[in-house]
Amino acid sequence: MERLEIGLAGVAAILLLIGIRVPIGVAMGSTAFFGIWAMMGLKPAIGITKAIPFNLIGDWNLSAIPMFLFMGFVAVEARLTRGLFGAARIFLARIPGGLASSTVFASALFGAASGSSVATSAAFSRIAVPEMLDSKYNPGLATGAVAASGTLAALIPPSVLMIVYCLLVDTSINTLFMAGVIPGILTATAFILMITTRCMLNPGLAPRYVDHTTRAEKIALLRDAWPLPLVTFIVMGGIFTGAFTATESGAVGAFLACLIALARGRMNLAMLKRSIIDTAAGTSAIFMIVLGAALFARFIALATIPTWVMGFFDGYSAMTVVILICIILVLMGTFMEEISIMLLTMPVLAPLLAQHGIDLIWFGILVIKLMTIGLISPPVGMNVFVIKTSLGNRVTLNQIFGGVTWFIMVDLLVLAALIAFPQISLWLPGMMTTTR
Amino acid sequence: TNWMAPAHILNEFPYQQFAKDVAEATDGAMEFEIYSSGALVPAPTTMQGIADGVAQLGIVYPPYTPSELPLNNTVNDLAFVAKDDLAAAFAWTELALTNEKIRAEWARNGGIFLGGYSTPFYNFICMGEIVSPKDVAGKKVRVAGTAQTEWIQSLGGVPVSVPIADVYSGLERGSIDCTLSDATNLDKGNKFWEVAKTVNVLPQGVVLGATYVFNKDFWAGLEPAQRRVLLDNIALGLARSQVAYHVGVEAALAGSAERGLKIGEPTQELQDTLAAFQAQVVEKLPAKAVAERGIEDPTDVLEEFVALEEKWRALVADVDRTDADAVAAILKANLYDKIDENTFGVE
Amino acid sequence: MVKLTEKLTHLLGWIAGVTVLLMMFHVMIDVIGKYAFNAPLPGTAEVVAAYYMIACVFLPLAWVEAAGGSIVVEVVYEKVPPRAQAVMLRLADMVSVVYYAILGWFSWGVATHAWRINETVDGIWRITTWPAKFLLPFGFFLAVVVILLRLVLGDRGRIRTAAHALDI
Ligand code: NA
Ligand code: NA
Repeated sequence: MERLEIGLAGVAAILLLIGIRVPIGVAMGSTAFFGIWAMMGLKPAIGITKAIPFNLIGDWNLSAIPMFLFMGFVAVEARLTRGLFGAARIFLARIPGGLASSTVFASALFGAASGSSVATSAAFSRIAVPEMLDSKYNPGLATGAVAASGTLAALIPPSVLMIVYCLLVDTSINTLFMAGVIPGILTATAFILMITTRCMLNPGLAPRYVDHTTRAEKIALLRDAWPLPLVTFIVMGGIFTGAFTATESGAVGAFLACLIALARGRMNLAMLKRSIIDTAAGTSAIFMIVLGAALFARFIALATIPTWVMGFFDGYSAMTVVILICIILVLMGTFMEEISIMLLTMPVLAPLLAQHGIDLIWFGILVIKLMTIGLISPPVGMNVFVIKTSLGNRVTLNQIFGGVTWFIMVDLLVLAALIAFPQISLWLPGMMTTTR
Repeated sequence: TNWMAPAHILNEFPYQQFAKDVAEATDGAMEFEIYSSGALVPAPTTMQGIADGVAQLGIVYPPYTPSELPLNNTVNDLAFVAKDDLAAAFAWTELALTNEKIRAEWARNGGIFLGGYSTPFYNFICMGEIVSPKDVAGKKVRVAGTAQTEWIQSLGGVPVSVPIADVYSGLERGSIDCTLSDATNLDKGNKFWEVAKTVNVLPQGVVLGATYVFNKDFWAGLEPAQRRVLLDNIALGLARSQVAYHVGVEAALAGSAERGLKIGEPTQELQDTLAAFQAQVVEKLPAKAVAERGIEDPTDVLEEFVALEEKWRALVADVDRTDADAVAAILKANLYDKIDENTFGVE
Repeated sequence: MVKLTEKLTHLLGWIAGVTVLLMMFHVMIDVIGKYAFNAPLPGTAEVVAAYYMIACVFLPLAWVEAAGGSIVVEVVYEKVPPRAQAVMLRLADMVSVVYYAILGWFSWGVATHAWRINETVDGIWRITTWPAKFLLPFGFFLAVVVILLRLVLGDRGRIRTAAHALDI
């Protein structure tokens, strides 16, 4: 067999393995090993498999991921997220669909302290969804809002997906972080507008919520809610001023979250143990995929698939290339896990981007936006699965995917705006530096 | 395999261009597929990858594998005292091609060294101005390697190690005050000229790397005529990268001056301090290498490098450093023509 | 055997967890040192990369396997009858065992090689890295044992871990 044929057979093998519920990282890694063996012989296969794990994972930049995960877990375990939702509710309760909008607002705020959209969705599905269902909200709207606004965490820095992207295309993490702020706020605003409009046109979706909280309770809620935005402010400030690298801001944020938990008397040994083991296990699970994908990327490269793919893009303008890539990524996003998509595609796309002189920061925001759409689009939407898992039988998967559809349409509009107006992404990082 | 981007000086000329030239010279009989940006193996494992036959040819940076290439790294430590980057590149190449101890070290690692590069001199690229030794005191300086670390410490500065990608923002935000980098970092890739305010051209050593390391079996399996084609093109590839470095430095400094950066010369005091430090490096290096790297006394190898650098300084003294063919001609006549393609690296 | 594996799984999991805390404190001290005292902690980046990251990723492998925390896609799985689901689980476990065993075996070779040459990385301090390389085979091999036990012994061979969700 030719190398290209083996490569395409490998892609088929991976889909088969993932289909029979082999862990994604294992599927990619083992296909890569046996694929390289088939193409080049056993010695190179062993050589590549030996070379990658330690050097890939032993990377200072990647350590931002466990730090931001830890910060998110501590925030959830110390119930800092609950306060956030409660406080957002006070302000937004009166507008139509106020609870759903509160979810978006609180998720955006928490997203600025958490690197993982799945973690954000998980946190708010336990807090916000029961409250909305009790208030007779449409289950699709309730769960859709949580699933979609969870994705804000990937777009609003810090973001695990952004770190992975930057490592893959070799560009500045902090610059991309800054570039995500305005698109994140734009998306959150668009979500809230959409929710409000829909609920005004169809009041049955979200019966008016009767706010029973007393003034004293409101003050208590606000008092409960302020620390997390403060942590966010420090973390973002550190990144914006360049005082901290990504890892450093993660460590500082996690440290501050621990301090707050301690000050609130919510830090105990059991909670700390849960947070650290969840962080370690979560980091391990993510990086097993990263490792598998890194091996698979070598297999893809050796199989000359990048050249083959680049052949398709020959002779198109930069804009057409960007739009074609977007379409491909949306399609892949429907059925694949997001980090794996980036690990698979970026090594292929990076030379193409360079060839067309496409701005890596702007393109990075587009990629992250596409990935956030993938997180909620059927049939494989990680955020949707997390919500389904934590709610059990109260909602069906179809209801959630149905509710999410509206948010995906908003996402696509925002995406179009991001493509049409690169300034939305590039203005803020431009403020950081004088000449870039 | 090459871990640098295709447009990097050490990829564009000695790899992309080299592959084209070799294919042409052999009418397509020998074609290299270049994997850039570490797409095949991560940079630190390049040596292992070549030995395992993952790649037939790769660029190896000895400081990534100090334990595997201790003697080569000792020579690299000595490059802190180099006086001419072009001569250093060719002296290093000749040393590694002809010195039995160094050849043995490459052979132990499963590779055959066939040519090396030298970066341009490392300069101070700073926010504040550095002209004399006392300017360095208390400053946070980004360094790479032990010689640079000790040099900055000896001036009372604070050496810091940050990834090269973070140097730009580090300078901008003041988490570092200076970086020791070669001048091509000003415009290409890292674009330090966008943030830095001053450059001081004090030549603080070079860093050596192996541009061409071949897999042993691959090299031995070639026809002598093919090996000849490779040797000739290697000479050309090395010459081209050094010329590109030279032109790059000139352009970067000129461009920086144009952008308003202050390009400064060191004071005599700073030059003397450096010279004294360099003398002490030469003196202490053999004992230090024996103690820290666990090798036998490298004095003979180090002396040979110094002698070779002197020899090459004379050979390239008058050459036009912007003319790759002229530089290549000298390199061929004095080194590569003398290598016997029938026997070298085959036994 | 099951008991011992369970103990080891927990032990490695907790070591990884403690590493997370160490990483946070180490980086914090470096940050404070850098800004307050103009004295960064030398070697922070190297130690974080070579030790904390490696421990945090490879030691909890067995724990993640036991807790069913590996990231999988269940589109097909959800739609097939229970008998077919059982077959899929076993097949997936077999693929995983082979993969982890291969990685464990190779990384053992890498680790012993690093140990023989007393491997270090050059930074501002010279950091010895070979001990970190042994964490990989430990992690992989324990994961292999965990999966083998449940493949061979069925439910009796299942390693128990604290059951909180591993959602990331
Ligand atoms: Na975020
Ligand atoms: Na999806």
